[in-house]
Amino acid sequence: MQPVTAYAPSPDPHAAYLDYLAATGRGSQPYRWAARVFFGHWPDPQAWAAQSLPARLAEGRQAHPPTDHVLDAAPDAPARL
Amino acid sequence: MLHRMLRPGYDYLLERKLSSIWREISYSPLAGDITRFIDAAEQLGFTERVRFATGSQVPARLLIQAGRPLGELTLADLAEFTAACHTRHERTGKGHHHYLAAVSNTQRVLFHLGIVGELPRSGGPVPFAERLAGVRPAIREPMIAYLERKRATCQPHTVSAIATRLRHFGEFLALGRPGAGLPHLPGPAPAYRALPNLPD
Repeated sequence: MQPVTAYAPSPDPHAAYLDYLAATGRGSQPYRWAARVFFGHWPDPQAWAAQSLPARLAEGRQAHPPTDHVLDAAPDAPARL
Repeated sequence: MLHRMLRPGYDYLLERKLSSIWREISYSPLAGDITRFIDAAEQLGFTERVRFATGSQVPARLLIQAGRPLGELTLADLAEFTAACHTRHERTGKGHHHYLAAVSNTQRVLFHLGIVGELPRSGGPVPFAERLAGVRPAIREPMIAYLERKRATCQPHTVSAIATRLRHFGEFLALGRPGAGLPHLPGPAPAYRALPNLPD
């Protein structure tokens, strides 16, 4: 049985991602910098998802963790307990 | 992407390795669906390596892009994913056989879960109708009927070889415009040029 972490996503994707890192005890300064850059460029991740493929890939590998996690702020996503 | 907010498109998802999925999955709403898929694959006898490779290659991407739970995936979702694999191959030249194998495994698991109604076509001879798909229907139908009759008296390999030659001939005939006669080739006119134009 894996340990569970009480966690309720914030409506702001950037804040939700930082909360997630803190709640799961993971992350590093590069993670936080990458998140600041990505969410600085794309405060609304839907706008990023609407870009062309080259534009989406241009964010680089450092953007993978925040993009992988960006659905944390989904309105219909259940709170992770 | 693991939490169903974004649908970034199969083109993007195929450019990304979802290597972190197994670390993130326990915090994701996808966890239940992925676990259900992996458990079903185990019951069907898939090895652990294949189960987890397939799970991250296809079902995870389907769930992210479709935005629907596992029980609501359809053959159309699998077809869309397969088409995206072909498009990526044409665009980049990168191989996609491992994805196609994973799509087949996924369809097999979904079939046994009662989610889709068809098993994937696995090996065996390609149906004549599929092999002769590039031949005009008016010619294809008698060709298929001929091949079916040949099965009664010839070895399967022999019939397959005949089908290959008929396919090339049928596709050659299909090159000609309707009503314009047979395609022009250099050299003396062969005997088959005396044949009448065949209908479409």
